Amino acid sequence: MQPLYTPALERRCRRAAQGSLLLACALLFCGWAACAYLCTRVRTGTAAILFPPVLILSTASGWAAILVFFLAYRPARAEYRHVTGILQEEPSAPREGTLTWMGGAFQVPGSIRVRKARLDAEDGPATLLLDERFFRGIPEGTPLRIRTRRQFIADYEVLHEDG
Amino acid sequence: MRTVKRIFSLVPLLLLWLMLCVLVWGFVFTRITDTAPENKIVLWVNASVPRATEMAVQLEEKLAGRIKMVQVRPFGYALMGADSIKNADLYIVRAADVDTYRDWFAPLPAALREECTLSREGVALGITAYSAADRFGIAEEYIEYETSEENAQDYYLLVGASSLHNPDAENAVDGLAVDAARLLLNMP
Repeated sequence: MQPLYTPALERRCRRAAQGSLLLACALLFCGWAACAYLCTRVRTGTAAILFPPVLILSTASGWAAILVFFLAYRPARAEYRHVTGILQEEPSAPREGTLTWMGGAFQVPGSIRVRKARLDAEDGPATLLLDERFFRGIPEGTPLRIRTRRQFIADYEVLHEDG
Repeated sequence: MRTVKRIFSLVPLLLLWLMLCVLVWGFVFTRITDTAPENKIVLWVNASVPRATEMAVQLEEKLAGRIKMVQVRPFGYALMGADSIKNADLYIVRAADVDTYRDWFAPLPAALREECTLSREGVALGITAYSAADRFGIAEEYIEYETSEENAQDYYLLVGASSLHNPDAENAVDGLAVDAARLLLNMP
């Protein structure tokens, strides 16, 4: 079966989170360090000339840091926490059936984007969740063998017609 | 589309950041473009001074090594509540306003008394900075004296009563007000 959650994925998520946080901090620090340097060049004749670039530079570096923090770091951190939490769970027993997606992806507040799916198995239907990042890899309507962790699809295998 | 929505949701935070930057750097620039009274010469001018910064830089260069900073301010600047107008080292004031602001001015230092053209109650007070009759003034390149027929009047250069650079003052740190006054009187 193909595992969706692996230690390698966890490491990648952690690096992505750390890297984006580092980038946000670097953007802010470099911008304001440059502003501090420009302030050392301020004299009577240059103050009016230097104020606009200092203001623009500090604002732009802050905006860039804010965008990286909220658009890259927080989603990466949420993904990392999700993957870490899932890997700590024991996988369920395998179940076989076909998946039908129930609507589009939705954002779990403070966490990741997920899709809901209904697994039509022999022992009855079940509602499962899937991390949106894995959506494209899992075929709908095809017989699958699935294992879950905390209701999330964690491993899957496409069953061949003769299997 | 989702990313655009997320960016829009951050607009209040981005605007807050902009306000913070304006406040912080405005404060920083106010602090670094000022210094203690003993380290600067301040000239307040009772007229429009469109190139006040250039004029200040000129005076600073000529006083280089002896003073850290020169500030040139038009009286209009004081409308923002600057008490510093009362503590200036030098003034250029219209004749009609000399008595209004009389308390701000000290008697001319001895080194400048020979050039005195304005007295009050026997006290040498000022030197002509602009003559309405001659239509000629000091630093005309920088100061826009009132020259219209109805409003033309003389302007006088006076020394501040609180100046630390007035050599005749008890608490004087140096006599640079005299040097600065001479530079102004010779400024085209």
